[in-house]
Amino acid sequence: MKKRKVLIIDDEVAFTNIVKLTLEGKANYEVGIENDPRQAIATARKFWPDIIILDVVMPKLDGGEVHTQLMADPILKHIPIIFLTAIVRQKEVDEHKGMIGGSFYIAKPVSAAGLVSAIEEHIRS
Amino acid sequence: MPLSPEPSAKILIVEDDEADAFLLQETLREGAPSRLEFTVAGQVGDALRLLNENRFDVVLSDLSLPDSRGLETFTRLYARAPETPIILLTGFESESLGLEAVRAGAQEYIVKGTMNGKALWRVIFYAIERHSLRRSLQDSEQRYKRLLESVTDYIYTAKVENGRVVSTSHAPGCVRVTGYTSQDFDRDSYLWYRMVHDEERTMVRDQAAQVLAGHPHPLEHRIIHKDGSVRWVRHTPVLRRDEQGRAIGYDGLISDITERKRAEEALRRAIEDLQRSQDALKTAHLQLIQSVKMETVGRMAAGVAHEVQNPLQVLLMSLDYLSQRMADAHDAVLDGVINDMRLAAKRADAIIRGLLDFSHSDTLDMQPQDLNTLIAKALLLVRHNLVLNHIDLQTDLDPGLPPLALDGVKIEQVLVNLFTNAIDAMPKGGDLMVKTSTQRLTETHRDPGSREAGHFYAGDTVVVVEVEDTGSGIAPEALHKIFDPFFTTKTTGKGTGLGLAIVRRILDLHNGSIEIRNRPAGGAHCRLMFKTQNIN
Repeated sequence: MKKRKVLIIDDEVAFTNIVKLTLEGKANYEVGIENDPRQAIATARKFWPDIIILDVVMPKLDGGEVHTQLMADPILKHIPIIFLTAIVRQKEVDEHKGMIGGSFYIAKPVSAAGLVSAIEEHIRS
Repeated sequence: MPLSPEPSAKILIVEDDEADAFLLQETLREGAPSRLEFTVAGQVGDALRLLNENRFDVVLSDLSLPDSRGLETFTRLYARAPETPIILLTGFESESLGLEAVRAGAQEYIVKGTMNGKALWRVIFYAIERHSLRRSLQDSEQRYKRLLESVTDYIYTAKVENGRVVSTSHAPGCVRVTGYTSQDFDRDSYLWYRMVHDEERTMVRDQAAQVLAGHPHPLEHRIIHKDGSVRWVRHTPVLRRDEQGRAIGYDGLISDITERKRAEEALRRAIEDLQRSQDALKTAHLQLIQSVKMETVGRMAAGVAHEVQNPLQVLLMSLDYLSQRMADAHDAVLDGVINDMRLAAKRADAIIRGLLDFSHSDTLDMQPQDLNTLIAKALLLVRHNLVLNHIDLQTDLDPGLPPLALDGVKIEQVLVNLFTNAIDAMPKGGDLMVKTSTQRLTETHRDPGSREAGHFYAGDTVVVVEVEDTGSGIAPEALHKIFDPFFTTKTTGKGTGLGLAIVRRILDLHNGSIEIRNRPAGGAHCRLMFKTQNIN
C-alpha cells in the first residue's frame, strides 16, 4: 500500500521532529520536513506530498505568503493545505467548522490523534 | 458745600429775557461778598444739558420759558438735578405758583425786582446752606438707620427668686432679633421660652439650669421670630450673685447669628459637593487604572500565549509519543511520570487558553437572549460537578424576564465561571441558589467591600441574576482583589486567576455590573445586573 506523504512546514524544529516520529511510527505515513519557509516551494516540488501542514507565524516568510506561493504554482495548487497555528484558538476553529478564510485550520496544541484525524479528513484521495 | 471763609459760587440762571438775566447778575455781584460765576440758559432744554455736564451750587430759574411753562419748568429741572438747590423767580401774578413749587421741593422763590443785591444774595446763600444741611441730615439719618439695621445683638436681664426666673427684661434691640418689643417681654415672662424652637427647648432649659448652678456656657439655638421665620441666636449668659454669693439672676447677650449659620450651611454643602465630586473622580480614576491594567494584561497575554503554545505543542505531542512507546514496557512508574508531565503541560495549556480568552474578550456578538435559558444551559454544563460534590441546586427563575441583548456564548461563560467558583467553595456539599428577577432601582447600588462595574441610576429597570452558595465565603482582605487578573484563592493548579477578571470584563462590555460579597449566614453572594433597555 502506497504511503501517504505529509509535508510539514514549520520553523519549530522540535515540533517537526516529533510530528515525523509520531506519524511515521503510527501508520502508513511518510513525513517530509521543511523548517525554512523560503525553501517550502522547492521542497514541495521535490517531495510531492499528498497534504501540507503549514505553520502561520514564521520568521522571514510567514505561512500566508507560503500559501500564496503554493496556490500560484500550477501543480502544487491542487495539494490540500492545513494551517496548524497558535494564533487561532480551537474554539474559533470549531465555531467556523474548521474553515477560516477558505482554508483549513487546526489550533495548537493539537494531540497526535487530532492531527491524524485532520489529515485523514483532508488528504487528497 | 460751605461758603466760608472765601465763598465763591457757581450759579446757573435759566432766563429767556436777556435784560432780566443781565440785571440779576449785576444785582447779585453788587450784593455778594464773594466771586460769583454765572452761566445763563435761555431755555429749560439748554439748562438740562448744562446740568448734565456741570455741577452748580444753585439754579435760579424763571418759570415761563419758551420751551416750558409754570410748575413743569421746576419739575423738569428738579428731576434732572435733585442734588442742586433750585430757587424760582416769579412775577407778582404767579407768587402762588412759587409757593406750590416750594412744596414740591424748590428751595425758595423770589418775586422779581423786589430785592436789592444784599437781600437777594442772602436768600440765595441761605438756600444753599439749608440745602446742604438737609443733605447732611439725610446722610446721617441714613447712616443711623443702616447702623440700627446692622445691630443684631442685644442684652437682657433675668431676675431669679428661689431658683426660678420671675421676670425678664429685654433691651430695645430685641425687636430687631425677635420681632417682639421690650414691652412684649415685660408683659410675658415666658415669651422667650415659647419662642425657642421645639427641638431645642430641652437644651435651652438645661442651659438655664446650668447657669443657675453656677456654670454658665454659651449656647446656639433657633428661635421662631414674630414673623414666623426661623432665626439662629447665640445666647451668652453671665450669672449675677448677691453679697452672700446667692444667684439672684443673670444677664445675657443675645446675638442674631442667622447669617453666619446660613453661610456655614452653604459652606458645609459646598464641602459636601466637593467631597462627592472628589469621590466620583477617585472612582473614575480607579476605573481608568483598572481598564488600563486590563488592556495591558490583554495585550501581553496574547503575545505570551502564542509564544508559549508552540513549545507546549512540542511537549504534549512528545509525551503522547513517549507514552505510546512505553506502553509495551509495562513500567508503571514511568507511565506515572509521563502522566504527571502530561497533566502539567495541560495545566499550562489551560492557563494559556485562559489568557487568550481574556485578550479576545473585547468583542461581542449581541443577540436577543433569554437569560433563564442561558442559566439552564450553563447549569447543564456543571451538573456533573454538582452531583459529584453533593450540592443541592435551588432555582427561582422569573418566567417574565424581558429578552436582553447579550453575547450568549460569553454570558454562558460568565455563568459557568460563577457556578464553578460556587461549587469549588463547597467541597463538602451545600446549597447553590440561582435566582432571576426584574427590579426597579431605588438608589444607586454600591456596597462597601465589593467591586462594581457599570453605571446604574435610581429609576433604572434592571434584570438581576443572583448566585448564592453556602461555601467558605471570601476572606475580607481578598474581596477587593477578586477581579484582578491572576489573583486566585484556589490551590495551585485549580485556578488560573483569570476567571473573574474575564467575567468582569464581559460584564463591562455588556454595560452590566457584578458584585460579590459575603452572605451574613456564610458563603458568597454574587449579583449580576443588566439594563433592560439594552435590547435596542
